[in-house]
Amino acid sequence: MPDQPVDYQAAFEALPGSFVLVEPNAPDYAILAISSDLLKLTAQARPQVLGHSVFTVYPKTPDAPTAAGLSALRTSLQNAAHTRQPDQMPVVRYKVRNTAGVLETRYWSGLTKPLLNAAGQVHHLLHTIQDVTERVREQDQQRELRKIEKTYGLFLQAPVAVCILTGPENTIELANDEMHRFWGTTPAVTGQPLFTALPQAREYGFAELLEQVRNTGQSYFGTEYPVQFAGPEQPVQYYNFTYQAYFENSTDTAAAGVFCVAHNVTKQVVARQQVEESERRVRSLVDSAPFPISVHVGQNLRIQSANQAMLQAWGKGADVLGRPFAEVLPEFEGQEVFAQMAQVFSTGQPFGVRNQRIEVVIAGAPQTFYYHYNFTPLLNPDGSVYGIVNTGADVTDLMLARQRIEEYAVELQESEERFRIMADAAPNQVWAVHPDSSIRYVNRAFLEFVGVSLEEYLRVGWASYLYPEEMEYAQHILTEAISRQTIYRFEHRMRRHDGQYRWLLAQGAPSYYPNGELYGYVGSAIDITDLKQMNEQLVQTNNDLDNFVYTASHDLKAPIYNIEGLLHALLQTLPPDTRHSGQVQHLADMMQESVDRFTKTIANLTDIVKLQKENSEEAVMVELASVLQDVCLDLEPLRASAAGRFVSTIPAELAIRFSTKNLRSVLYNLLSNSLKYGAPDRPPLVRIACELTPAYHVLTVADNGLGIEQEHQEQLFSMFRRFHNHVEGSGIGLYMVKKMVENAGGKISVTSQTGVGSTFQVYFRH
Amino acid sequence: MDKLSCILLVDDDKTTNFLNRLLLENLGVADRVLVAENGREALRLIEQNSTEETCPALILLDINMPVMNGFDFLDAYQDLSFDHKQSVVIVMLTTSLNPRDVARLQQLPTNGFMNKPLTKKMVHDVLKEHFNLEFPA
Repeated sequence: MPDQPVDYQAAFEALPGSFVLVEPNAPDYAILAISSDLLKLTAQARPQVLGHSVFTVYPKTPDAPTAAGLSALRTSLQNAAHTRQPDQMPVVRYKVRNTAGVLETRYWSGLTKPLLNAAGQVHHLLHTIQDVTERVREQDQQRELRKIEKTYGLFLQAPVAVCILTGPENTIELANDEMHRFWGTTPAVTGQPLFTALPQAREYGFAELLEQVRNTGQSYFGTEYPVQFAGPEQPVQYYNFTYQAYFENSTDTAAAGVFCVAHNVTKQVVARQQVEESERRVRSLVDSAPFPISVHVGQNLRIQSANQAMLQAWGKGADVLGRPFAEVLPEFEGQEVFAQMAQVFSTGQPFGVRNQRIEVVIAGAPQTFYYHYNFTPLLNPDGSVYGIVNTGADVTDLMLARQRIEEYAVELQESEERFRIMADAAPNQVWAVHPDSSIRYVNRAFLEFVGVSLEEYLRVGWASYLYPEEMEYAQHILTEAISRQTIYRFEHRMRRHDGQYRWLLAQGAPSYYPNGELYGYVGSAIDITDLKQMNEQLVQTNNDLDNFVYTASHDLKAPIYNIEGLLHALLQTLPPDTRHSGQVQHLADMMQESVDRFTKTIANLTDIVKLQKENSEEAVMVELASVLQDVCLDLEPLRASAAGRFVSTIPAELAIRFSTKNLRSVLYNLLSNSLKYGAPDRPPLVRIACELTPAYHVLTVADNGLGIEQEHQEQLFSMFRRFHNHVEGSGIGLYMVKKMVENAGGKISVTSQTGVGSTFQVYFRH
Repeated sequence: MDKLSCILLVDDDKTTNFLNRLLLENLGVADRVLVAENGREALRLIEQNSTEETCPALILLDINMPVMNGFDFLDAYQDLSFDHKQSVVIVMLTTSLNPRDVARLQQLPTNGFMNKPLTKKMVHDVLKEHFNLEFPA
């Protein structure tokens, strides 16, 4: 402890802070001591304040807004003196002249503490003043901020990014959490220039935009602006944003800053892009679809889109897009299409129709098509119809094919109808069977023959009417023919309604549908019983006739031979002179001639009968040239006398199928005729040739003779027809030739011109 | 020159028989010419003349005859038995050309077949063929 006493006076005055010690002598409150800081603060000197009343030293300042400061001091001093408890003054505002001589508003906070003596009485009052101007200012500032925050609170809390940028540096005045999320920053960047806090924003052109807005005062609206502040590896974010200049005062011409509002529309953009992508895909699908699709919107069914197939169906180009449907296809007016679409529009119910006939004018000409088509309504979220999707399928070919089939069916039915009418009118039996030989139809004559109804006949069948011993044979013929699909023809017996078995000649042929499928067999039968009996009678008659001819010729031959013999015998009895006298000789010759003719006639008759009998003469392969040579030899005297000539081109090895004897006869007749009926003015020239055709060997004998008149040519081959009297002939030669050839399945023909010659052609079947 | 001892003509036609006998006699080819008007008569004549001298060496046989025709005669002749039967020549002489008859004739045991009327040449041919007798034409 130092010996020197402490100078409390000096210590009090030197203590930092502003305080004053006063005597509790109300109402003066004389100043006993004062700190140097307070003196300095109040610009007073110590000698002028000590011993003076506080209220004298610090009088009411005239320009103070209130006198609250001094009165509050008085109250605080009184309170502390009275209560003997410290008293806290409310913060008071003073206008105080500072050291520079300028009044400035300051805030003070005062505390009065009573100093008690040993008796507990208030001895002094210590008043401490604290300058709380800075604190108050800070509080004011925060209050101000709160006010702003309250003002912009809606914006700040809005789900949009909001910020205020001030000055050319774009200092971040204010930014809400959403904006920080957008930038990838924290509230710490508040007060920093934007491009210091977010350097990467510069490259998106925001700096230029902000400057433009601030300079011009014109707002800028950015739409779906893509940014990648978080780095290139993060997905692109899309923002709609507004830059709006703001002015400190309404009269300012230069903007103080820019108010920014940004809205993240990434989800919507992505969603829309997905929809667009999906639409694109659908569109390409629709466009490439092979069936027609179109979309119509609005009451007038404006064509929003139509694929190639639909345009083709309408017979129109892509220029119809966007036009009302009725304007594009006026031909639908009279058809049901528009009514159906209107119905879909009003009811919202889809409509579909199949095989609808549609007339479309294509390249100026109306054409008929058939479609399956559907109208599907396109609905607004509220359920109202805003459009119609039109889809279709061209089934024209299908319908035409079906119509053709139906027409065929009708034709077939008509044809069958006609067939039945005709068949029923036919006097012979007519039937049709299925490919399995079951009965399809029998005509009236058939039913009348068997004497039962159609139902009964269908029940019992064909076989039960057949002659029992021929049943197997008949079935065999039928099945064989059906399996080969060939025509059949055979004779069989069948029981008639009266129980009598009648002979039938039946024939059937396969019948086909237009597509080539077997329809079945169609056939007919005639009752040939009478014919057969007549044939038998005829055969009998023929035989009888033949026998008669034989007998007659035999019986005639004997007397004529006798007459001839007797004539010779008679002549022998005459003396030679008489026998050779002119008259007798002449008579004898005439008698001989008559006998000869008689004999020859009988011989011809027998020849003809013989020919009928011998038509089964065996045919062999015979060399034509060789037989021709023999015949020429036989005819040599005749040829020599007529000075005729035979020219043959028949090759030596050529053989035909014929009876040798008959071939001789044929050649003999033809060649001898050629010589006999030669033209008087020229020697006979006879050309003989043979050519091969698919079915025949055709022998040609052509002469240069008299020729045959047209009207005689047909009768040429008849029996006993002779057209020339000047030559010897029996009139049966060509008849015989014709018979021989026809009996062997061949034929003979003649072409001739009077005065030019005749050509005979003989057809020998292979 | 040799000639046949006997020729038998079998035919119902008297004129034919007359003419044929005339021809044969004029030709002088046989000592005797016998005539029968049917098969039965012919059989009787054969039986009566079955001795060597008078037995017919050649029979010219017609077919169509009353009482017994040529076919029936041949049947009956088969059953006949006499000494010189082996040397007897039977030739059919007929006008019948009925194929049925021709076919039947070819089956019969005859030595030949000729069509009427009988001529000198036919006679000479038969004699030459069956008896080796030649006559000047």
